[in-house]
Amino acid sequence: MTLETIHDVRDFLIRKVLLDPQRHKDPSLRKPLSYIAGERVYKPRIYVGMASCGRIAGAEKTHQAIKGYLNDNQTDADLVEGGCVGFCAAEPIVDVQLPGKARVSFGNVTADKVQLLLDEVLNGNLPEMPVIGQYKDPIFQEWEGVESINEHPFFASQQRILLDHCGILDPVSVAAYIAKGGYQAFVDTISRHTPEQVCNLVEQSQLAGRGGGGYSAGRKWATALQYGGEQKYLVCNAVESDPGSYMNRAIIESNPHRLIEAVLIASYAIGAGKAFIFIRKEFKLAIRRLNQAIEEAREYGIIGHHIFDSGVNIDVVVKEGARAFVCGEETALNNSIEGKRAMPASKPPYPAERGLWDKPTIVNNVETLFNVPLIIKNGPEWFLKLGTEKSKGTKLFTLSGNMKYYGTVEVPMGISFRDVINQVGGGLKNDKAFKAIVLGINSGSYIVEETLDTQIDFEALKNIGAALGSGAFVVLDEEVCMVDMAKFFTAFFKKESCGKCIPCREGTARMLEIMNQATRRPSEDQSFQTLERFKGVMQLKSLAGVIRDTSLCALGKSSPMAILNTLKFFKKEFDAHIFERKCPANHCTDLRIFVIDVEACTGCTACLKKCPVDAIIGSPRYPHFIVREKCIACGSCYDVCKFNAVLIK
Amino acid sequence: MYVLYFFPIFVEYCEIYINTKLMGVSLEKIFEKFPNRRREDMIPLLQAIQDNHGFLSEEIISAVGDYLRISVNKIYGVATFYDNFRFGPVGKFHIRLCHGTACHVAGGGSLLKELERILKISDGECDKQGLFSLEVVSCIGACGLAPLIEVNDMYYTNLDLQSLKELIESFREKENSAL
Amino acid sequence: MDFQIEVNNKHIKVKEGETLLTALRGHGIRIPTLCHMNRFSPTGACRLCVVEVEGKRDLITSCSFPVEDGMKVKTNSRRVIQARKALVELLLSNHPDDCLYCVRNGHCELQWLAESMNIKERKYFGNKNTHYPDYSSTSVARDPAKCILCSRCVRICEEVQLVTAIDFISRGNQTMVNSAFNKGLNVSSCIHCGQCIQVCPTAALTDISHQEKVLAALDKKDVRVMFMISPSVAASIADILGLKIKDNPLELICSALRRCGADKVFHLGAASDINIREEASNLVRSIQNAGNGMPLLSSCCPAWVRYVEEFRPEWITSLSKTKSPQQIMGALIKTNYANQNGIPVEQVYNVAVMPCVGKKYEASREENTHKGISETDAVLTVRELLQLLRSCGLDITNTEGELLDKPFDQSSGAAWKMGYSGGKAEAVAREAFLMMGGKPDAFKFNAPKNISGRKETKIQIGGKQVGFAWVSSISDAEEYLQQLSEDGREDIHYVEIMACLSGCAGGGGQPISRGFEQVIARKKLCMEMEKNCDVSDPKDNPALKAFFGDDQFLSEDDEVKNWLRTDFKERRVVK
Ligand SMILES: Cc1cc2nc3c(=O)[nH]c(=O)nc-3n(C[C@H](O)[C@H](O)[C@H](O)COP(=O)(O)O)c2cc1C
Ligand code: SF4
Ligand code: SF4
Ligand code: SF4
Ligand code: SF4
Ligand code: SF4
Ligand code: SF4
Ligand code: SF4
Ligand code: SF4
Ligand code: FES
Ligand code: FES
Ligand code: FES
Repeated sequence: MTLETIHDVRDFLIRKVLLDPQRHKDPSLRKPLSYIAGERVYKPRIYVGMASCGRIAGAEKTHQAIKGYLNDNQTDADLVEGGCVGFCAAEPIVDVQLPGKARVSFGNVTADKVQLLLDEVLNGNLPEMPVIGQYKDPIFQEWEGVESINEHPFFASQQRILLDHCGILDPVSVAAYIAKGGYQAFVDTISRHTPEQVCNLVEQSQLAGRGGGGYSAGRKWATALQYGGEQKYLVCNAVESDPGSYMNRAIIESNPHRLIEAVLIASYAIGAGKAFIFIRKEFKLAIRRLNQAIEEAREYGIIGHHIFDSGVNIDVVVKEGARAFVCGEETALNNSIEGKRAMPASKPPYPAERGLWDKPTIVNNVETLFNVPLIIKNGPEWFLKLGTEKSKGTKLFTLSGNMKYYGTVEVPMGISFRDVINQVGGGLKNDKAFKAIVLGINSGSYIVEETLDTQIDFEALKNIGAALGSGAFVVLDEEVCMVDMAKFFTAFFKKESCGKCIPCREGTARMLEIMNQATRRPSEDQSFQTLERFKGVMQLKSLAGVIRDTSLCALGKSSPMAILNTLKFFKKEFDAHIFERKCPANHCTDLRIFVIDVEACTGCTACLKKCPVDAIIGSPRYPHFIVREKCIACGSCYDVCKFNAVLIK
Repeated sequence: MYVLYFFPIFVEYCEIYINTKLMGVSLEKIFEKFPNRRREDMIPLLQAIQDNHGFLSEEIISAVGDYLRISVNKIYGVATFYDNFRFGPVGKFHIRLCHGTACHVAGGGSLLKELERILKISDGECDKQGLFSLEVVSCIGACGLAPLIEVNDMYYTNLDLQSLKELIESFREKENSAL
Repeated sequence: MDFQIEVNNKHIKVKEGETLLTALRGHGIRIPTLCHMNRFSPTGACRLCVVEVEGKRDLITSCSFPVEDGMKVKTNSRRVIQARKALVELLLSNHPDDCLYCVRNGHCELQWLAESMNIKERKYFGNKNTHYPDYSSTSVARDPAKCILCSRCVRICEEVQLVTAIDFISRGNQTMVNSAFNKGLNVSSCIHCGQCIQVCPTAALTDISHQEKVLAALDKKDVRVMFMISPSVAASIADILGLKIKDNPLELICSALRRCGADKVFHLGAASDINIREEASNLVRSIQNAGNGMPLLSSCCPAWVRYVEEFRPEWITSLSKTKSPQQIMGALIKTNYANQNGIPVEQVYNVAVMPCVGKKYEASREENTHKGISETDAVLTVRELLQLLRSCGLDITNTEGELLDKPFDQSSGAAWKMGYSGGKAEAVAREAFLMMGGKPDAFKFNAPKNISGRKETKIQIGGKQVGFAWVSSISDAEEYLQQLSEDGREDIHYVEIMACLSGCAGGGGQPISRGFEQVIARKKLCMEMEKNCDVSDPKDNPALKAFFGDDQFLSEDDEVKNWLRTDFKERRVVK
């Protein structure tokens, strides 16, 4: 069998892999497949992690440099624009695979390091620069002195089933995806299972929605299936506008074919002929890769009319959202697809009954769907073994904030928050003390020191009054002011409220005003404002309660959570702002008053030079002064003074 | 030429003449990609126009309404709902500042204040010279490098007040030397 | 199927498929609402209709929630009451404290809500929105600062009138109801029907007031103010003040207006008679000249006319060229009447009193203005008339009626029919029937039972089968006329079209109605007063006979054309 042209490869993959039920029993397939998947190579292959996060960190320049290097040196090597392994802290990441040798991964390869790296590595030597690890495999020769990447602390505690291909496989090669076993689940589904069976399988696996609600995916599908009707729709919710999460984007960029496969299976399961992937317009790369992948899948006959002669027709379309946080809410999302203002509708009727253009519609999150091909392929029993009693599978997080390692991670359900921070995240940076974890803006939940040992599990979180959210995981250290955080969240909700219902539209504005009063400069306070401040604070709780109780959609319902949780966990800090007019974390600029201690000041002029608004006066070698009226309390002088002469009052 | 008269207040009605060639953008070319004239084409159509033209003017919205046979007011209502759409031109340096959770914690808020102070514009505005415009977004998706801004598709990460100021200065200089 | 549900510890029977709100209201349980509109799909925007349902974690909105068998509902638990109160308080926190200076003072739903929720102190202090009022339209004034974003106007304008002159703009706390590009309503596609005013719970939408203009004219020594009262105004006044028909409300209004300084008070019904006759004779002519496709479309509703001019210019040729009664009389007074009585035309000031805000716009159309002199100078709505009476301290329930002024002092019964949907079609049909030699007793018209919706009927006129139809609201009109042309029907010859739901009885200038019952009541009153008329056919109207002699006004000379006919033209607007 020769696989010389693209067509040969395509025919081979379709005939021998996708459509052949005996494929598992044929050992002769293994070798060609591993070449197609890029596991074995004839010539050196260089992967640059070129997902968005890598690009922001400079991967494009690195890629250019490598290209230049290969040209200049007339080196024959493949250069792949790869996906990302999720290790943002080490971006740009470059992987090198030499024929017969294990793949090895280097971190923080900025353009200037390319020369050094390639000079050595292409000759089989290790350069003197940090290595993340190597992908060990018995068929390859190992690099000496390089650890397996799985032992790297960032990866060691993860359980990467959704991320298995991410950063390793060429993201836009349908051939590579099929060679790694992709689209088999879909082909098997349409040839062997009825839609009811698919819904049942997924329900048995207890897969819960990852978009925030945690509702059983299988049950939701079954509802939509039960409504007859010619036209139904599947919508993949890839809006992901929670500030502080981008794992959906990362997995789409790194493995778009799996999402497409999942979308196809789900569409088949509910009887939908058309699927939309609704994604933010800003995710340009993800959109490009998705479209490219859809095109390729179409060429293979996986998407479209009468797929593989099964009589199944499914079309997949990418829809670009025009940016509004509330678009993530499923009814708002449907409105947005229809070309309307994205205002949520009251439920019932649920979209599963009446959604897009009043037809039954299922909205699922990217991560939820990503699980589906795996469940179909490995069976629900396999999935049930992952995770805890009530919460199955794994969870993706976007780890950020003050941690040593950060990025997109996948951990098994049931791991504790402490372990995520200390093991995956490598602990807090700069020895700062831990203060809280923010779990996504929609959940509004904080995990604090006392609850840090809680398991990541829907039940366990509910018990402590928190919710898992969509997957943002921002670690805050002691220097963060929680009142300021609450203010930030409230401002976010005020801005993103769609304006349809009274409690959310007016309530968020009022809450924000109350919060602003709490952190306003004391010197500007008039007596009636003091009164208002106290009154406002007294009403804050009941106001928050009403907003929670009466808002139409989950956006409004979660808008007061940050404030309620601040009052619950950080009451002292809150009170300090209100009553003592002090910010214990020294963050709220308006509550800080900077003065220079004339005794301690040496007149070194460092602060004077640094002050952005020229609020400091003084001559060299004489004590300096801060003009209170001019000072914007930025804190630069405090940071710069070597003699501890600047004090915060 | 495309003329659209908006009479001042107290005039009973106004007349519009619609022609679809506009400031170098041929709307017809873009319209061709949406032959079905459906309601759901509205947002993609507006996006496509904005990608070409930079922003949505009243003329454009009227033309889109005429093409899709949807009330202009409806289109305006939809366009003003979404943050993507702009109704005025962007500056030479279009600054997108991330104000997501991670960036806020890392000081994105003070960057925003500082930008507002030195550029004298706020979110969604463009300065008088047409040099800088500012857009606040939530999470650009590189929280590890927070706080960061994006200027004309280039990212500037791990900023603080000082480096931000220097960055803006460098843009100013670039502009001046180009003159 | 019937369901049993428990409400406030009491069992009630409800029907499957209805919403909780309808079910509860059907049992006399009061639930406050703001965004709910009968016969519209629920939006769930205002949240005021929340109730507590056992087993549900959140409060649910009764307007959008279908009843479930055996559900246990609490409509007045403390949690519910407090939530509703807080919602109103939140609305007030962003509302101008303007009640004392507000047109809707005393008729405002927000005010009632605040009162009924026992709100006695300001709870939330905050920044209020800074929207500016818009007085640019000739008919509808907007004050977005008072808007509570219930979306009722947006929905009626879009779904019922197909105009979408106003819509939500912007998002979140900044949201406002506005016309395109935040320009004034004058440059929008608004057709001046005023239906948005009728549904608005607050003073965010009101009419452009002509009261001051009228009062100023009344004050001027050398100006002679002529009032023209539409018959349907009398019905509305009778309904709202509880007047008896036998007291003849029109005469009571007449006497009150004279106390205010009116020079003459005329019966606009006389002009309606002219309008009906003219239209009927046009119809007869067009039937005789055989069908030419599109039927004759009535044009006495200015909002409908404006709609055609903006959105359906291809129908302009089908519009009846006869002026509306208001313009006929306005023109007659300033021409024939002024001439006959030797009054310089500059000194005449015509004030129409109408159930309609669109008439304000109609009066300002350039077609109705000649050399700077408008046929009608001011139009008062029923609401303004009531206000005028109140501010002048006139209690018409306690006065003696006075006869109206000659020459236009009475109308036929037919004129009263103009007050509701279907009435004009009937009047025109009857007139055409009589013109072609039909006997009055032989005339049978299947009068509409239900006053809204599309209706058709056929009668024999001069040996020909002639089809009449009537629709109210633009959406119905559009649908009906499109259907007509799609089906290629030629059996309908005359269509009466009224922009307001159920015609002028539901007009934009009527007192803010608290429900459909009020519209029906107005229609009934019109019908009763019709019966009270001495003559039933326009041609027998003694006032007209006295003024014109027999049938003079049906002639074709230029002078008549001036006051009897008008023209229409396409208008391209931002739509
Ligand atoms: C304000 C708001 C924003 C949301 N944003 C998202 C989002 O960005 N992505 C997402 O998948 N779900 C989001 N959701 C949840 C969706 O409404 C919906 O529950 C979810 O897509 C269902 O998918 P699942 O069952 O797979 O979780 C959001 C919900 C709300 C109320
Ligand atoms: S809760 Fe907020 S976002 Fe949701 S419908 Fe109400 S106003 Fe809109
Ligand atoms: S805090 Fe900032 S503004 Fe104030 S004096 Fe110091 S450097 Fe200047
Ligand atoms: S940096 Fe410190 S020591 Fe130096 S002038 Fe400023 S306050 Fe004085
Ligand atoms: S609209 Fe109602 S509540 Fe508002 S000022 Fe007028 S009367 Fe008062
Ligand atoms: S209602 Fe009260 S506040 Fe208003 S005028 Fe009367 S006494 Fe004054
Ligand atoms: S008057 Fe009629 S057309 Fe004009 S805005 Fe109101 S409802 Fe719409
Ligand atoms: S203008 Fe009136 S009817 Fe329209 S949304 Fe505002 S309050 Fe409601
Ligand atoms: S139906 Fe009557 S009240 Fe309504 S706009 Fe037409 S004429 Fe005026
Ligand atoms: S490395 Fe890919 S998301 Fe950061
Ligand atoms: S919060 Fe700024 S990049 Fe994520
Ligand atoms: S009436 Fe039910 S939400 Fe407004």
